[in-house]
Amino acid sequence: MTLTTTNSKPREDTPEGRLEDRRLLTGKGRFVDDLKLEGQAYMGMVRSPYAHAKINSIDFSKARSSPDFIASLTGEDLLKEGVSPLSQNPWPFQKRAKRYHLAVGKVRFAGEPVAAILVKSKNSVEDLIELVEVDYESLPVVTTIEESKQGKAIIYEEWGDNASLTNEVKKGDAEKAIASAAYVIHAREGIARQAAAPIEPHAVLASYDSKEDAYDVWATVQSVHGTRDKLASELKKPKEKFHVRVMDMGGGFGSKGAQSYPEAPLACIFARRTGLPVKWTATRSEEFLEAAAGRDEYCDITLACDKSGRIVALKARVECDSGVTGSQAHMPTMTIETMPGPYRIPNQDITVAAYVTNKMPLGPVRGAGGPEGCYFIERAVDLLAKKIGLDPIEFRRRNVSRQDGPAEGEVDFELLLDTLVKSSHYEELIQWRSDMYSRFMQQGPSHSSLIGGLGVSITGSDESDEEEEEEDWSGGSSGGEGGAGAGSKPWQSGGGSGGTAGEKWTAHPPGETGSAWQSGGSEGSGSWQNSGESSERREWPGAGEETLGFMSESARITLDKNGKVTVYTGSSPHGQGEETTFAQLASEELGVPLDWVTVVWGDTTLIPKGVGTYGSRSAATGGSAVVDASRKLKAQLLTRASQTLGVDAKSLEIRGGCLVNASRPDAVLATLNAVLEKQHADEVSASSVFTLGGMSYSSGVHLCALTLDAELGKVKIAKYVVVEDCGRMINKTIVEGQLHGGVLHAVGGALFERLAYDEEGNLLSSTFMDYNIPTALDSPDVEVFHETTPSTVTLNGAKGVGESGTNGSYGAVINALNDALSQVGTGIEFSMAPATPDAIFRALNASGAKPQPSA
Amino acid sequence: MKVNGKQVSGNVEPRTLLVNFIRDGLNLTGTHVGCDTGHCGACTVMVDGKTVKSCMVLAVQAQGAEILTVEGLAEGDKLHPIQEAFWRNHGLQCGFCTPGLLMSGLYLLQKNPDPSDEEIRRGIEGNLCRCTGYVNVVKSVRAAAKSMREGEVGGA
Repeated sequence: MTLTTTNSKPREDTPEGRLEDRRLLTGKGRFVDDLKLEGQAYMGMVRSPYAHAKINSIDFSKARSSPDFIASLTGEDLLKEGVSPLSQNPWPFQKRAKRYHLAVGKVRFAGEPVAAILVKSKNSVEDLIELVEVDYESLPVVTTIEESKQGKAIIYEEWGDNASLTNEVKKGDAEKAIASAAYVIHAREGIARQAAAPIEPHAVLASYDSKEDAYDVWATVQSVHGTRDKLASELKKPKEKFHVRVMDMGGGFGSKGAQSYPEAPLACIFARRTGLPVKWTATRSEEFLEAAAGRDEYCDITLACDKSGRIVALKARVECDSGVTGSQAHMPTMTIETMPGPYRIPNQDITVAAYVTNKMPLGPVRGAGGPEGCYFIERAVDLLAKKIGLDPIEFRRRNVSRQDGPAEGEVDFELLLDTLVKSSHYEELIQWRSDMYSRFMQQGPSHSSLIGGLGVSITGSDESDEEEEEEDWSGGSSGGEGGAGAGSKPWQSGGGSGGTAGEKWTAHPPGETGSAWQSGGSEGSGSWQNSGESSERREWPGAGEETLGFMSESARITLDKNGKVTVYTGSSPHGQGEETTFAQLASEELGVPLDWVTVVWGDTTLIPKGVGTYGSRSAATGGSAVVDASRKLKAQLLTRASQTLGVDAKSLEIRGGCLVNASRPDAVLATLNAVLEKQHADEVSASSVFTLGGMSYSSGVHLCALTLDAELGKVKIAKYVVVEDCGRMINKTIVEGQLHGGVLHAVGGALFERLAYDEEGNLLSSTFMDYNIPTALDSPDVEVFHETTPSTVTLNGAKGVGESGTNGSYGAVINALNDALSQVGTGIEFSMAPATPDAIFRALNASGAKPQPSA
Repeated sequence: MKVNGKQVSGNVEPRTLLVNFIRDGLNLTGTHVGCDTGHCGACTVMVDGKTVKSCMVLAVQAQGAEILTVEGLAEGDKLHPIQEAFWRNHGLQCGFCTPGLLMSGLYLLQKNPDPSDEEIRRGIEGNLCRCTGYVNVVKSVRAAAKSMREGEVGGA
């Protein structure tokens, strides 16, 4: 497919402020918890205090005696009700197990819901939860990968062991290449379990219409369509019976995405049983206990290069503590696929294994496996550069350069590095570090004595880097046939997003493919599209047809006779600004003023089919669908105008909402409204289901300059620079905002954030007091520079940028920290994130590690 | 109490939090609850001219107080300079923490009309934002400081 849009500059008419902001700034946003229905009741979840225990009995008698009590549900009630277990997405290489919305017989993580109650007032929710008496019999608890491997307890008896997933990427002969390499490093690296932590907790409001036997559900979700499909599947009703909506949402970062949660279906059941509207809003602690966490991956890595500094082999073993089996335990696979990054390493031997533990299920968190892969390789690359004695930028340059330069559409990583050196004033930074060092040496370590450190990291892959692909594999939502015997065939997922550097996965089903691939009774939201050579466009579908896959998104665009343009999208913005960027795309393609355009999302009735916003997919996939629908509508308008005006459609253009002579755009022939009026058309519309023909990767290079207080272990980021190539920028301000936030998410992950558990599997960090996300004082003034290589697979040239900042930032921060430490000869290397002030302090103060001026 | 210039009253259970009275009792849902423990700052409002995390205060403690919420910032269609500054500088993404940040930013500027970036960061430290990386929030408060100072000069 040839690229039609090559405009790499941001649009000149980019609006100064976003279109969604006014209501959000004046307190008029509509978040789910803001909504109220007459007579609504409140749902409360009774959660297990044990990480692994048998449930002997649940007694509601005390709760029932309260005048506020309305109803209760248990897992046994759900079995009687005939509810299907929580939906699981059809990842072919992951073992699965049935998990019900409320635990049946056994709890497997602390915080797992064992019962739900419905009460009359908000204030009494927690009181009545306390009155529910559950008799548990505790079981041995598995909290670490080691314990899981050793089988301290078998979490799913039917599996026989606790291994839940294996996968691998192999190429060449890594062993042999390592044996004969000039330089080799080994490292053990890892990122702790970390939370998505959107500031808005999960919430649901559900009501039931008994006449229609239909449900109206408002929920904090990144995909209303996925939620509708899961509700239909779990409650065994047609999809049309569920009207799922979301308007404003206070962040998601993956945790409100495809993961299956129990509360919306439970609220529906209560609503049907009682006839009352049902509201549930998570407390922050519930959010930490239940909302899918990410990372928790550890890697033994060996990286080797030849005498000239060319990387020749990568051998890595990744292990993941996946918690109990969830709907989305695919992130470790993303990790091993993204790990080679922009480096073309001829010999690769990367394996991954995930193990279940008695913790909440792992899910996608901003980057979804990508940050881990990027961090693992970038840390190792730094160690190897140090071993050879090469500047880390120079070492990377040698390994990203292409003999004949970048191919068309391929990101030029050398150029990105050049831009980084220039825009960060790298030479000055090296001087700064040297000056800091001199001062440190003169003063000796004291509270005022800081060490400077510099770290770089690259994230990304090339769209054209398809050489490793053998043949595309299409799983299909019904599953089995796709997984069986798939061997090691690459397949693609993710809707063209890009933040995550390479969502090209090798499907490698476990040996017992057939049985492992039994879905827990649902299709979830996954129907994987084959990626052919060219992108596919289809018409707007009805709800009843097959589910759209990750590579697809829907859009419909209407123009009414009053000049109002409405864009309906299957994407679902919650901070990404699609209300603005999609309006910009429609305005640009149609040739109408921006203020004609309104964007509508998050409504399964108005938009029968869609995929949602996650995996950095919206600008790429949703945006392409908007462009496609707009182009169709424009063609239709030009045809209509040619009939009305009696001229050839080819001689017409649309500018500023008027029909003009294509060769003389200042000559206005008619307004669009007049054309519609003449044709007696109240409204014209066009729609699209756009399927990307391949992945679209955003790439970037990061530089972090930080100071380390060698006495206190405190780190402060002094300067942070990103050079990003996210293709064509629809709105530069929004792109930069995504990068600022993405970077800080990983700064938190590199320096502060850890979901800590005790040996009994209790979560110790269940408030923002114990789980530190960065504040304004911790955050650097991230500087962003751009190169723009338009995507060759999206219609608008854009690549997804939502996760790219997060992918690249762990490595830059930890590498900078190690650079600072190395200058004072402490012999400490931090390869585990987060490197908290506490951990750094302890390491510095461990015997023999105390930094000393060497003079 | 007086909320956004209007006298309001209500009967509440003694344990009702101020934020719940504002959201549920007065239907002013612009003030948000993000953490229930006083850390995130999404519920920040002004009580008698000072910022208060309204999930940390009982409604009855605010008896007779004068309260300003995000709904009381704009005058009709005219945005308050700090709202305008957040709008023009992309100081918000999902908008959930924004009402609290507007309040903390405004309180800072009332005390210190010309803060340095470090002072701005210190002033909004009690408000967590997961979207923006604070870069454009700081920029917005800086811009608001400028326009509020200029507004005062212009008005004098």
